[in-house]
Amino acid sequence: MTFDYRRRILGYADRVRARPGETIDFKISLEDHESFEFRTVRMVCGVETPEGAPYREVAVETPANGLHEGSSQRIDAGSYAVIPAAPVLDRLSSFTFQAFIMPTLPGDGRQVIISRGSGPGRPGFAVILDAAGALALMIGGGQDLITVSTGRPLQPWKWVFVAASYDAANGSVTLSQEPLIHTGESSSPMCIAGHAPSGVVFAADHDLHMAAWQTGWHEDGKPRMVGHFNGRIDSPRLASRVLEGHEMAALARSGPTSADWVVGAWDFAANISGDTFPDRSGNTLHGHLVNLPSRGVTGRQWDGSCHDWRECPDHYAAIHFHDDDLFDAGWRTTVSMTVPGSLASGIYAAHCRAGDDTCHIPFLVVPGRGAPRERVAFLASTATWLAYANNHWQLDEEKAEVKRGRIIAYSPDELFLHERRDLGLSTYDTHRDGSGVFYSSRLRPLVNNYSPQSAIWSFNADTHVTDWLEASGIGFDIVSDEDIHEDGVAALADYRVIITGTHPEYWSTDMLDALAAYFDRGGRLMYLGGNGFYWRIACHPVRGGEAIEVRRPESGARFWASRPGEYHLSFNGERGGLWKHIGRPPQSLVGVGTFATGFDRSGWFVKKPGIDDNPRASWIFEGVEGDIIGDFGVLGSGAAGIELDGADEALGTPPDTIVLASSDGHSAYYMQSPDEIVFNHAAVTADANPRVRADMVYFALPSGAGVFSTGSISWAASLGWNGYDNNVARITGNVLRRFAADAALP
Amino acid sequence: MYRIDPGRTDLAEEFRRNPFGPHSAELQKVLNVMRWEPIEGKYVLVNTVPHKEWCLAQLPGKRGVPVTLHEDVVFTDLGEAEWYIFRLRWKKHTGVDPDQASQ
Repeated sequence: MTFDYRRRILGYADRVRARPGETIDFKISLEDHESFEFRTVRMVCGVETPEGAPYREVAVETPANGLHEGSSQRIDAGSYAVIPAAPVLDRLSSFTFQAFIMPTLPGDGRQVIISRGSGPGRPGFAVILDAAGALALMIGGGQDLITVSTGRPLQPWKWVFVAASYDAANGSVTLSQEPLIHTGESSSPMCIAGHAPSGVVFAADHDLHMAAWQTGWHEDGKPRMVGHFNGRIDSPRLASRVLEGHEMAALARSGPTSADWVVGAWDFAANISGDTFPDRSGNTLHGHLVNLPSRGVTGRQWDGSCHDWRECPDHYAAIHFHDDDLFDAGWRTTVSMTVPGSLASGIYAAHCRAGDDTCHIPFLVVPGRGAPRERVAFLASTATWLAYANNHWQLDEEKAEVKRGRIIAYSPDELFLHERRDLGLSTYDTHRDGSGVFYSSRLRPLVNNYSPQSAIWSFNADTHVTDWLEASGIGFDIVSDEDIHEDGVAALADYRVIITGTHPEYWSTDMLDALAAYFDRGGRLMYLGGNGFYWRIACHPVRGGEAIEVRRPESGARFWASRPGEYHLSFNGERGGLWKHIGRPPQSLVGVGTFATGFDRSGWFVKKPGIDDNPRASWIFEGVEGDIIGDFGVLGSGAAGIELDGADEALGTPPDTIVLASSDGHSAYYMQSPDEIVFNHAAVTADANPRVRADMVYFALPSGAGVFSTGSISWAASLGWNGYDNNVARITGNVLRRFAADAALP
Repeated sequence: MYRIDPGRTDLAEEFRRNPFGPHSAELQKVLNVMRWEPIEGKYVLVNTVPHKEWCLAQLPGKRGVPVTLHEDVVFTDLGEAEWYIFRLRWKKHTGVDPDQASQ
């Protein structure tokens, strides 16, 4: 029997968190099933491990529970631009289209630069790269579709000026391609003439598209788009007659023009943070973008003199389209659930089952506005979950095994994701053309790292914290990254203690400001993770946390690197990258920051000599025998592992910080993080480098705030060991009880 | 570039006894060479029963193309799986099966 890893039930929700009384819309797709059972469950522990806390979900009553009908829903991946139908487009007969383009996958199938039409009985035109990667014009429709090509493939990742014109009076077609850098015969300028039928009448009332071609409509009324372009388009122009060379050159140079023969002059340098772009021709053919193509990318004018698109937008007048971009899958709602008032704040999931096929769609219930609060809140790292969701890194990265130090063992979900590329990518992946993925959206099925029953990472790993809280009988509310981003410090201020998950890695400026303000108000934080507060993100300027953006400049533990000139986030213009390089190292916030990573087996902590005699710290180790902490666990068999953070006053660790313990026992596959190294050397591994370690730290601030940081991702995976009776759980509990009390901290 | 010495079956034996390390510096060099292989055809595992069973597989090296599963080669112990793949790679690099060479 063949191993079955197909998932025949998939879904997502329109929101990740809701207050009682608010409604969540679940969007489910079924394959080979016609109905499914919807059960609401509270997620206690999201992952099954042989020796740790058992997987546990608890059924809860909601009006949405029960049998629901469903059907298959499609994903239309691939980004493109839409210029809605307009009379001035209907009048088009002869035309010239010109643009600067940088194709990134020429020769990889037919790819469309601009198109109008077509389909049976709807004649249109498209300027394309043909299957060989050469500039071509398709004109006509159905059986009468004519293609004229230059026959010379374009070079990948090189800017080229392209133009295509059609003279309706005599059917003549002219194509020209002029690489901006001429390096040899294959990149020499060329212009060819061809013929198509004269007097082709284009179908009226049709949208104009860039980077894809509409061939019709799906049954659900959505456009059927094909021929997605991979690469950049800059300064596209459409004219209503055949232009002479000097006219094209002028149009390319001068940008917007009011000549009466200019139909559209689209300005991709405007509104870079948004999903729209204006037409400067005076015809108001303004357009919008579908599926989040990359903006804030260098265009053909970028010369290295400017690095911030807000200061020199003309250098960033390009949009990078990919055939694997995806924002909002746009599925119809299958189940609407109004969150009952009886649901306490917590982590929940829609557990959907059809036959033997299941899926979980997590959601968070946060306290209602004005409702009583617990003293403790768990901070759900929804931004980090999203950054990792639908991660293909182990499948696409040639060096995955070298980095991990083990044979890679894939989960069934990874095999499924590998084949279903239409489900979109994570910010750890590269697009098919090799460019890094800037954006991740939660409006699509998230198959790994954002759902239970997959690897111990992100969502799953974080439930080890909430599972332990529940087992310890400690009441807690949930607050999410999205709450902090939207509500600022108000989302945190009512809580005495905020507890993070295992990996609160991605923070927007608003989120970080809110946490700093929380400390100023005396709030207390237990950072039970590693590699936290590391990358800056931005949330979508209109759609908020539905999509996040990341840039990967110059250094940091990265799986792709931002291209020169592309360090600024398109969503808000801020410089992206490591908070350390922006001037706010994690050490300045929580005492520790990323020192090292490793992925084979974990180490343990060793208490600092004399720590039991330090009255400011000894209470943390009350009831802990011996000096070794956490030499057990379900993530690499130890509580100090995966990603390790250390204290460093030069990076901002507060002077009165107490280093309680440091880690040991790491393999040679634990190495300094790239941002820790300014020049290569051989002693980057744990066996040779004392900075390959985690520091467990504690400090109190004059405001009454307190911070306890473990600096290790695997810490929480040891909490459930031996029925929660272990020194990791003991230490965590000691700190939490003291932090939650009203008394001042030592 | 380091080349694996077919005569150093002691390194293979070290790996067999302790597949998850820590490894000697020389064995580490062997592993670095073995693990730095092209992605197309690379041996991997697929977890067919959580925490209990894995089967041998090979990556296609192309997005969207199914991973090739060798469902007749099944492991219930990850250390055994490491050793199985180590043997395949040792043989590829040296022409010798270390399991037979050391006997």
